[in-house]
Amino acid sequence: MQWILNIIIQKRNLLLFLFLLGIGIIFSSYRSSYHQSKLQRFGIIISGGIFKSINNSKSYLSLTESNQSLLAENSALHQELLQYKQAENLISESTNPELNNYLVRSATVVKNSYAKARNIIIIDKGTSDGILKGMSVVGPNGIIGIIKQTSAHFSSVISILYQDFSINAKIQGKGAFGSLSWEGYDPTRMVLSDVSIINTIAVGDTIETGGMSAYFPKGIPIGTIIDFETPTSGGYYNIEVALLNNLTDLEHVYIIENKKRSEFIDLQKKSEDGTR
Amino acid sequence: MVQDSLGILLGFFVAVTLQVLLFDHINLFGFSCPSVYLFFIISYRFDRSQFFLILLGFLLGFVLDIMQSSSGANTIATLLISFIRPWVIRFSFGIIPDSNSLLSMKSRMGNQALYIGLMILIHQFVLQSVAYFDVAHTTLILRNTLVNTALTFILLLATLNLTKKKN
Repeated sequence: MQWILNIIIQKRNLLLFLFLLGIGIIFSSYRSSYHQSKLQRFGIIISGGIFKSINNSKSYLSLTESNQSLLAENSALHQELLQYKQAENLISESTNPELNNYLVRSATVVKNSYAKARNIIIIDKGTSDGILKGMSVVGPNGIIGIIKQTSAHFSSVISILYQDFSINAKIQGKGAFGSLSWEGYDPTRMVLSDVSIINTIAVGDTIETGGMSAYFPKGIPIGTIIDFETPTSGGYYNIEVALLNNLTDLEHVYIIENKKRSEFIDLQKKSEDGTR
Repeated sequence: MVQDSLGILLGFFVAVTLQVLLFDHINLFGFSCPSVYLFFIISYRFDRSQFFLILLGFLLGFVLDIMQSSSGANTIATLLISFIRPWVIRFSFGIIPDSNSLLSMKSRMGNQALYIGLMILIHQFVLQSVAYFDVAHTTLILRNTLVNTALTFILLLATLNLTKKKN
């Protein structure tokens, strides 16, 4: 208390000046509406700046919750999108939930790999979250890979950047099918082969999943054609595809469960056994 | 003590009356008006209480704003120069001036003119800035500051010389 009194006595002139300056400013704003509006505008600039900084700090501190909520929202939207794409192929529209073949879950990439010949990604969801081997994994802009192994809380994903791994793909809007594979050099490029030269293709055409496997639903974008060669002999194009997803910078992914996958595989197996 | 206080009151009253009744009606070039009441702040004895001077400066500007129906610019400007006066004195006369009163000072006219000029300049700049309160009017603020400073300086210097001769 004594210390405060000493400060007040020492700085009495400054304190008096500041006090009277405050009264002068209030008096000025009271006397003149022009000054009042100018002061109010100045006050808005100052308080707006302060509250914006506070909000930025609060947003930063609540980023984890925001991310979780956005991931959940994205999963739901992906699921809806798959539903609509599925509904386009039905003769009659139906809201029967049994027709919803796909369930989408979100996950975070804990380990990524793109420089090896055969790349594996680890995600933070496992069997305890309903993840099973064979489920497909997609990113914000396209396909990522397929679940290879699972543990209770983690899963490994065979990336599409995996030599000897090929995906059924088609050219959007043209119906031409082919096999997409990675040559092992550039993590942003893949090769689409087995597309017959009777099909007309062009640079810029979008490549999407063909839906002819039990893994990826039909119509998920993969990349765009950036170059193609018409062979002098043989009947197939050699097409170079630029991937839409940046697999070198993965943070959040979505796992798609095809509810009818086991039925598809059983039928496929029976058909193969029957032909032997 | 009583004599001093009465002297201050009288000086205060004379400054306000002269400014409001006489000098506020001078409108040189259509916009310039001398602030002769500053003589009260400038001639205030250096050895008297700074605390009291700040109060007086505030009151002087406040009363003038009431009388002139202005926006409070006089209050803020006069308060400011009352507060910064010790620094201006130190800058103009050195750490210890040779006299505690401008009216009995024997130091060079240059120092006295510097002191008076600085006080008026700072006062006018703050007064005009608060009156216009807009960066877009900087040219107007500077013009009014320079012209009013020159006019007030001439009048205050003449007043000081007259007062000194009387002493």
